Amino acid sequence: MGRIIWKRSALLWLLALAIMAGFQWWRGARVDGLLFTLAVALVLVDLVKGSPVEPFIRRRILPRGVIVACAAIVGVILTVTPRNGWLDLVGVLIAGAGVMFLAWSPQPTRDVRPDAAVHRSSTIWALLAISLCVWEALALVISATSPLAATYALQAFPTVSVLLDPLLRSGVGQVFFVGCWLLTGLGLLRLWSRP
Amino acid sequence: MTRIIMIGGYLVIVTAMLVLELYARRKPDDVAPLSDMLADAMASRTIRIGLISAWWWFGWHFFFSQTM
Repeated sequence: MGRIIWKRSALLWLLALAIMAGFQWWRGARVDGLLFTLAVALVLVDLVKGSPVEPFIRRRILPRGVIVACAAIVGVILTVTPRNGWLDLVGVLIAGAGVMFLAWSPQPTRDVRPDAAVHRSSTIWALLAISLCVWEALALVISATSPLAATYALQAFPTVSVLLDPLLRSGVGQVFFVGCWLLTGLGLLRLWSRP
Repeated sequence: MTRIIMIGGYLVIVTAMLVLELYARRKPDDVAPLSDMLADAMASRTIRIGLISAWWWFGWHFFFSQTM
């Protein structure tokens, strides 16, 4: 085992995941807390021991058509079946496992932009993402600790979930958000730039 | 009133993200577009795990678990 290199970006991601895990535990979402705790553990094991699953999934490449077909099947499952049902769980698990396995091996970077532009972009995006998380956390903390009745407090200090839930209950909204989620997953696989 | 302020905060942040991406697409050598920045970031396995975990959790949270 070689020397561990603790890069700043890796530590920041570790911190972000740990904060998310702690926040989920605090708000009483135990399964969500467990998921983020597992992500923290996965990153830690990866940093300390090297990738424990790498030998099994290295260079796992599927044809683009197969990936799109799988995504379409998951999309149908998530939109046609009742929301929050066990089939939705199956669809989300298949999508997550698929993206995690296919995205595990490093993709060759295109390196088409100057380093300064990439650094500037990542810094600003990180600041905006943190701002969104802090604003959401503020809404949740205020509504959870408010003396107002819980339902009223959530409407007075709405989280993103509270705002999006009515949209997700409609068929059109569900199709839109499932589509966005799956396209983002395919984007993480950099499907369109694959050979 | 607090509801409007909270929603306004979300809209300001989302608008800033859209403006940033539009600017980046006009001047990609000044600020890299999101796709190029992510392509660079995803070279790190730690960041891949972090991004995929966050992405997957959105699906879990909004499509399966009870959000309310």
